[in-house]
Amino acid sequence: MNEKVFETLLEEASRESFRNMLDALPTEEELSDFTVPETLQNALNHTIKKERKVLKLKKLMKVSRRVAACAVIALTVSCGALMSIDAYREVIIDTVLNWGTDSVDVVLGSEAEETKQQSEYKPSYIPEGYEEESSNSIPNFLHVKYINEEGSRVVFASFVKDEDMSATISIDTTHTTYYPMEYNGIPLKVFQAKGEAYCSYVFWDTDQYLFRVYGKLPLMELVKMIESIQS
Amino acid sequence: MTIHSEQEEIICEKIYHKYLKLMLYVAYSVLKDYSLAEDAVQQSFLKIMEHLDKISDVNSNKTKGFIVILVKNTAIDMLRKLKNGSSVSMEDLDLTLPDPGELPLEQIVSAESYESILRLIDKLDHNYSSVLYLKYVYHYGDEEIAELLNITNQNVRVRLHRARIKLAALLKEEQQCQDRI
Repeated sequence: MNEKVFETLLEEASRESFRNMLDALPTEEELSDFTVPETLQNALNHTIKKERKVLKLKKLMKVSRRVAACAVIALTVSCGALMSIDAYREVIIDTVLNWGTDSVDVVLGSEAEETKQQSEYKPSYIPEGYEEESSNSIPNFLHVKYINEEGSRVVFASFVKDEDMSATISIDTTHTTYYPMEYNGIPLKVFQAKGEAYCSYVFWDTDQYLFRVYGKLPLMELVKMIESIQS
Repeated sequence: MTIHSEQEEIICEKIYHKYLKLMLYVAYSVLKDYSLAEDAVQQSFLKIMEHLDKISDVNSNKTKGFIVILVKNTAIDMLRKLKNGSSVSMEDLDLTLPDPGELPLEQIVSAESYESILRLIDKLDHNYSSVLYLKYVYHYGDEEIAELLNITNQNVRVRLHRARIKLAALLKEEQQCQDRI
């Protein structure tokens, strides 16, 4: 008990002693005539400046890290956007096809012959549950869409090769795995989906044609469509 | 790196403008040499910069006291080093704790006790009073006090205990003097 009382007295006395110690110090006014040597001022200013520089550098590094992080995010989003390139391409192709369909009347020359050329190759095998939704052609290009009850689509396209024709198609490999394959001596370029939620793509070409088929289907179903292609 | 934010940078500059003269005054009052006092202020300033997180209001008495305790401690350390060639006091080298049974508690708890303790704390060596202030005014733990005063945790405990013993002894002595009168 006595020790507790002593501790309390000591604590309170320490506080009052501390206040007394502060009161005994000279006030700012009393120290106004007290001069601080320039060397000390310079040394301390130098120390503060140095610390300020380090702090600024640290801040800069922090901002740089944020910028780098944003760049990585932007890059990731861009890569993600690649996935939808095909969706955009479909819209563009549809627009071109609609224009093509609407402008059939104004096409001059061997229209019948060209149309025949487009429809030369088309898959006879359609995956179970799918039916042809649309088939459009413009000179040198055939575009067929198949759809099932759930609204999932499979797209087949064929292009007539042109000597001047050259194109680059970007396929996102975040959600697909690319590997080359050979079917009946024809080299296929296969992008197999990494899950049911993503599309698989197959590209191949002959001397005259370039083909493409893709959809959210098992790869073998796409291959079966390729097998069934007939004129 | 001792300044971690803009807030600390502002605090640091305010301390420089407000307390530089006081710091030099305190250091000089211990060392009685301007050149040494300047060194002590520089060292203390670096120490304060390491502990800017402990300062919220630059104008408060607590900040003023904190700065004075650190400057005085640095100056006393320098003085000791100059005299003995060691930064550790001979007293601190002996880390054995005195027997707490020596505390004359019955005499301590009397009507005049508080006034006597207060008077005696003022008479205590800075080594002891600074630990008492940091513990009872700032409520710092042993580790924080050790870091601020450049001593070990054990030194802090020893100093606190010795401060209590010294106070008790001085109190006993005072009581005996009064009895004789």
